[in-house]
Amino acid sequence: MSLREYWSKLLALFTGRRELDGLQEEIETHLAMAMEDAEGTGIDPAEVRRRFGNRVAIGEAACNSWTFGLLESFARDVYYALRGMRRNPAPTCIALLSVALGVGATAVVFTAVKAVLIAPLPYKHPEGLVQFRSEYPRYPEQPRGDWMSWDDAREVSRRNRTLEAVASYRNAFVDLAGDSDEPPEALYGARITANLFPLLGVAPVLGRNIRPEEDQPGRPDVFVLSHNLWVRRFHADPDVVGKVFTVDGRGGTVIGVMAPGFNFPMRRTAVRTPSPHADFWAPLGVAREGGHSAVARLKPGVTLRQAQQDIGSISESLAVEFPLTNKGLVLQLHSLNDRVAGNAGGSLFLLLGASILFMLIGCSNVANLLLARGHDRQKEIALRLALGAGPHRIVRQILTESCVLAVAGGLAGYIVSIGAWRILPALSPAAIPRLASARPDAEVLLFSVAMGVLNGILFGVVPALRTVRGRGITGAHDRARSALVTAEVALTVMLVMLGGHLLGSFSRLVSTRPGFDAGQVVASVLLPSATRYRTPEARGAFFAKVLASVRNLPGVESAGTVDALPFSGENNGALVTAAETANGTEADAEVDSTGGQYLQTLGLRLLHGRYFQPEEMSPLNDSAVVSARLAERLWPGASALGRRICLNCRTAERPVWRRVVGVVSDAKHAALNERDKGAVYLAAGALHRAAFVVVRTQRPAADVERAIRRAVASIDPNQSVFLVAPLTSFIADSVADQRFVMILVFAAACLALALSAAGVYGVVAYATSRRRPEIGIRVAIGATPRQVHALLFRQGFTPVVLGVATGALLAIGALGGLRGSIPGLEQGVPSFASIAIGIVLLSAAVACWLPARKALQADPISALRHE
Amino acid sequence: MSTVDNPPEHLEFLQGTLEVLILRSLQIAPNHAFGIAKFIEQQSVSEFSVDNGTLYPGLQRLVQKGWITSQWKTSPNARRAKYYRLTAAGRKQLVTATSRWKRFVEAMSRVLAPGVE
Repeated sequence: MSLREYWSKLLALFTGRRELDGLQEEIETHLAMAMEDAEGTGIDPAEVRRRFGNRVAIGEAACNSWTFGLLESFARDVYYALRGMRRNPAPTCIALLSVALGVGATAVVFTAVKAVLIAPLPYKHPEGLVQFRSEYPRYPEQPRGDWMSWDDAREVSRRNRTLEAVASYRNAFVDLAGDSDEPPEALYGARITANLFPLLGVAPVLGRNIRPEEDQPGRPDVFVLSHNLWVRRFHADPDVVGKVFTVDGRGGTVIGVMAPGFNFPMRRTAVRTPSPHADFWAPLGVAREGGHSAVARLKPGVTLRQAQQDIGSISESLAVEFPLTNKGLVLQLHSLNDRVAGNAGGSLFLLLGASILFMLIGCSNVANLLLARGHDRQKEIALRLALGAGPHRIVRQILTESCVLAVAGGLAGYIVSIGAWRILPALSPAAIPRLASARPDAEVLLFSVAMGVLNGILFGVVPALRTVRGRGITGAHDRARSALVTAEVALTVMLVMLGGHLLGSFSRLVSTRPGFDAGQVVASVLLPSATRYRTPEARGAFFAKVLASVRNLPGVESAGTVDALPFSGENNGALVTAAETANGTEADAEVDSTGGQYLQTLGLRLLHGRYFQPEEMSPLNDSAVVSARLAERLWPGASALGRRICLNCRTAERPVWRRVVGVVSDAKHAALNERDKGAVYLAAGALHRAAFVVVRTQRPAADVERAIRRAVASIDPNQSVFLVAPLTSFIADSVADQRFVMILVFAAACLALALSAAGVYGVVAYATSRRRPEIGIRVAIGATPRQVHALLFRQGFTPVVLGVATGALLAIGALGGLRGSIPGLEQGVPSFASIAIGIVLLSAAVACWLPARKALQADPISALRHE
Repeated sequence: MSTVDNPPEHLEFLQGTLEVLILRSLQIAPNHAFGIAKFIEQQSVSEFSVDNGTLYPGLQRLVQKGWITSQWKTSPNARRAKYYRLTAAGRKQLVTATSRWKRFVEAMSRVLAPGVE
């Protein structure tokens, strides 16, 4: 098309001015001339007319040369579609809602999947980053996890041939002293080696990185601040770099500020911290003893597998060279990406599956509506086909209608996902890293529209083809509708059973009794600054004062301390050896140092013997209290009182034997769904090691929090209180990711139930209404209402029952396959599945019964006249 | 093109042929649609038969390209008819197109000529 041609067409499109003045007159004149010309040649005038052709068609062809062809007819189809939608607002709204909810649900989950699993970690070339892990395959009592000792990290760094650099870090908490404007504050962050930021490929946006010489024991502390902390606490002061603040009672210099959104480590070990993100990064300095986490970067061209083999052989030689520390230790290497996502993938893919099921339910709803509409348009389309419209033209028009619906639905779905993600970050469990920062973006928009179009194809093609083939004025249409009802009900049953299963296992999980009475317990986390409380004795003295002061607060019934609070993320595993048994029975157990009236405060019931006495907190005391489960494992059927146990005797240089003075009820420690292994409680030196103060009180948690903070401030105004929270919230946080998945799937299941109930009702009601003349005849020739009811019910209900059966079978199969691979699906509750199926059947029954009643109430004569 | 019972099979227009033929038919004098069709049929000794469903869009295309313009006039037998007239651009296009068609025809006949192998 030449430019001039294009321009005149474009002009014509907008001005409507086409050089067609008198086109019909021109054609008529032309015909007249031809007739005149033929006179006397003996040709029949009718033949001349016939040869001349269809004058209307000629005019149309001339007009069409002024249009953009396909494009314009597409625009016309879109216009017809919109007009048709406006004419039938109710079905259009139902269809739009179905598509919008279905696409919205998938877009919501896709947003999460994208943020957590697909989006690359916000570091340079994240695919080359790996995380170390220590495993003791043969020693179950040893701690395993994403950690590595300092010495091992040095050895690996020196010996490996596959890694560019190895950087270590550990979680850290510091006290930032208050001033006239701000109270003292506990900060959560990380102590890191100087090479961590270069390894990640990041640098502060303000100031500079930690220098290697600053990462030596005894050097003054320096801090890189998170952007968030800089804004919140330092009011985004551009001159903050170089300023000195009191941190942990000493001077700490701010040397830099990171970019907004930077976070490392992504995965937290503690369940609850004041902030979900690290607020500072400081050099490891003296904090080198013990376990760290370690990350590394692969050398260019090295695969993860090669590096794993390299580390594996280093790990083996370390075990031989340093048997004292490395016996049985296996160092592993994992992609950092996998470690950050953790097991969130399973949950998210479960959600994705559920949302796709949900979307398909919406699809079958819309397909039904379109089928019904196609049926109503049969006459119009037959007329158009008879007048010479090409079948492909009509299919194109019907498909365009579906696509308009689909794209509108897709856009609406995107809006739904934006709305959902305004609420969801608040519900997002911190255990799934990066979830809370998920937001729908342009890619999600694209995804939504693509999903909408997929919807349009799924629900548009069959009705369009059926309409044009004009077949099945009754039979085939009804069969297609029945099949759709069956499919829809089956999908709904699957989703509802999945939701019921998740709800069931979640309710079973949260109704698991933790073994203690968390209702009236408030826990506060106190981390005395290591620089001001250097010795265990100083710490002990501090905690003794805190304990005494807290115990005397009004409304406090009892108080105690512990080094590892249940559900706090802190756990101390140990191997317990029992003396005085033939084979020296061993069992792994949780070992906690408990000060004050900890056991009474948590509500652990005393079964035998006695609780600890206050004087037993002296470091040399050998009293121990064991849980009933541990007593049963070590001394089956016998009394535990007076028995002697040894903790970690296999590896300890000097075995320390303890004497059992009491047996208390069992309690969960790490998670609600952990197996009961048993626990040992020690009093000796408990205050030296304490980190948590717990109180039992009837007063509201907020009051107690204020009182505790005031009490601590009166003892040491520079000591911050890290966190005060009811023990129940620690437990709730430990199941936050299961709860998140459960809420979303359950919401989808409830919506699906509503959608499919509406869909089934619509289809059955439509089919029944079309049969009103037939019902009229049946009633007129003597059918009883009962018989008519039975007939309609049987025909309406058969596809529903088929769907329920199919869906239930598929769901049971799918759940069997998924169980074990996805958290939260371990145990289902059959009653939830039966309730779910009951609801589906009931809604279908109502959907069958109401239209039948309506049909019967109508006067048979008017029903007969209906058509 | 017309019907099955039309004994001599007419030639089909090749892509772009009709436009040149229309331009050629207007070279000597302006003409109306019927005159154009008749001219083409007569000049081709009825080898070409112009279908009105093709002729009218063809005329519109030429108008859009600015090669012809139209005007209502009274015909010799006192009938009001729409007359098409070549523009300057149309004349130039006719010259170009004519020489291109001649080359095309020569090339075709060379290829198809009974062979000196």
